[in-house]
Amino acid sequence: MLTARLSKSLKVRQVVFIIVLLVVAQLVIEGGKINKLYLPAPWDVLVEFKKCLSENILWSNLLVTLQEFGLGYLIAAVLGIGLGVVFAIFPAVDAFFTPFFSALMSIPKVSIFPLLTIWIGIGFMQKVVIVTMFTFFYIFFNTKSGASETHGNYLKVAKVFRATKRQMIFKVMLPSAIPSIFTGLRVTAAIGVTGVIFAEMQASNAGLGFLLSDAAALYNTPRVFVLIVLVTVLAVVLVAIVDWFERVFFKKHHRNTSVKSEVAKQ
Amino acid sequence: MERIALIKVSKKYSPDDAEYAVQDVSLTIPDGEFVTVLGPSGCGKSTILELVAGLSEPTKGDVCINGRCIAGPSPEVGVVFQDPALFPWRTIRSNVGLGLELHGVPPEARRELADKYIRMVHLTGWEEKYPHELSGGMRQRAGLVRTLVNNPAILLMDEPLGAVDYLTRLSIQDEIIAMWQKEKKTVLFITHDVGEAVYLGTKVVLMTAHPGRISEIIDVDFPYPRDRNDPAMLELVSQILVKINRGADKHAPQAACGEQQ
Repeated sequence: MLTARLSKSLKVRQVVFIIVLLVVAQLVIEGGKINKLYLPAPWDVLVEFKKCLSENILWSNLLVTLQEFGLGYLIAAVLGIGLGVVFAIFPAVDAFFTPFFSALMSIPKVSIFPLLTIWIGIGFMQKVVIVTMFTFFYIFFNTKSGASETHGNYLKVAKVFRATKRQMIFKVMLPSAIPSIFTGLRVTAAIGVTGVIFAEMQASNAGLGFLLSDAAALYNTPRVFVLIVLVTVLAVVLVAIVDWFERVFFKKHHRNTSVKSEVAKQ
Repeated sequence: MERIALIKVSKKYSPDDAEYAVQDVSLTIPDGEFVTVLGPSGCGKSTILELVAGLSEPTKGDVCINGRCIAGPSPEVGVVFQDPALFPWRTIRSNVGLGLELHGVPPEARRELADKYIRMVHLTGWEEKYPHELSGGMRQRAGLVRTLVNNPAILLMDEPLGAVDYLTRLSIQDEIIAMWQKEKKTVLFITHDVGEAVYLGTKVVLMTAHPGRISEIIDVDFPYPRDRNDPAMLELVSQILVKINRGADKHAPQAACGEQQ
């Protein structure tokens, strides 16, 4: 384990490393060693970022991307958690349908993209569907395994208290599946961003992905870099929001204790 | 009145099992008795508890509570498990109030009752804590009152003290006896600890393994409160140990017998 002081000095060194890297890149590229068309100097990227801000194109397109992502992710979360719980409760449903879900999950989602274009066009809903397809299965399978792996002893306790099926689900299975549901939600926050950016790059007239492919088509590499940084930050922020949400509302769900585990420690 | 009756009960967990987990077990427990069930591991003592709790059904025979044969958990029966399995996402108060909550007791009454029982096992001040913040012994106490708060006439305990440290075990044993005497419950207590079985029980049911059967029922006539060092009681403990060892020799010479204190 690093001590606090050590890890602090480590961080300082890492920041210095990045700065040195950027300065070297700046000097090398400005020195004409690398064609700016392929790799813009860091400073040019900053200038381009300012230009994007003054052109006022970032916010409106970010908003479009966020809406597409948000709706698709929400649909995936509701369906994934709901179906996950249903599958966990009814072993017969689980046994029958799970192979089909696994097969569907294995389809590379991007290969369905042309079909989606034929079916629903290239508008807003197509992006929503792509995000849902990218994220649903992870949330579904995580919820299902979390809920069906509910500690047998918790279920026993609920059974001797003669809990109803409904109480079993809402007071035992769902709360105990929370950590694994959030694992699914966390991973898919980043995957969903990939999905929406991909879909926008393929065919659209708005969104960060659209800006990205547009900039690339015009060989505006500084802008491409601006957008890459932006979508990366977007993914990181979304994952952080999921983390924050879990910490604030479900922190206590993360503890698992039994007398046995304590004895094992002794 | 007979609170608990097992009538020629046999149990196989799967039809393919070569051997019954318990075979031809008959046992009746009158109101107010404290019966401890003792035997080596694998003798089916926990199976008997599960059957009486209504958590599993007998393959043959009947299990009756208050004269009625059961097909599932009954409201008069409370169960305390070795692993209290407190829900980690609930506070101690809300864990203790679980049974009340499931049966629709309003929050105010729930809170009041839970706190009363929490006081009884000296956990006052810990109501708002989560299970991971408590020691093993405290969790076991919380698990005990989570059952007691529902005021079951019959209390089943499956090695509830098997995993708590020795000193805590002694003090919880005394708390259990005090509770039993005060609330006049009928208790079925599973243990593999001979000293504990004799110290607590009015009767000790001795079991042998492969298949699980009752080999002997021993009356323990010492008055309460008992003295752990009473020579007569220690004598009874060693007699029972001899019996268990003999049983183990007969069936599987290398098998360990029930642990002792």
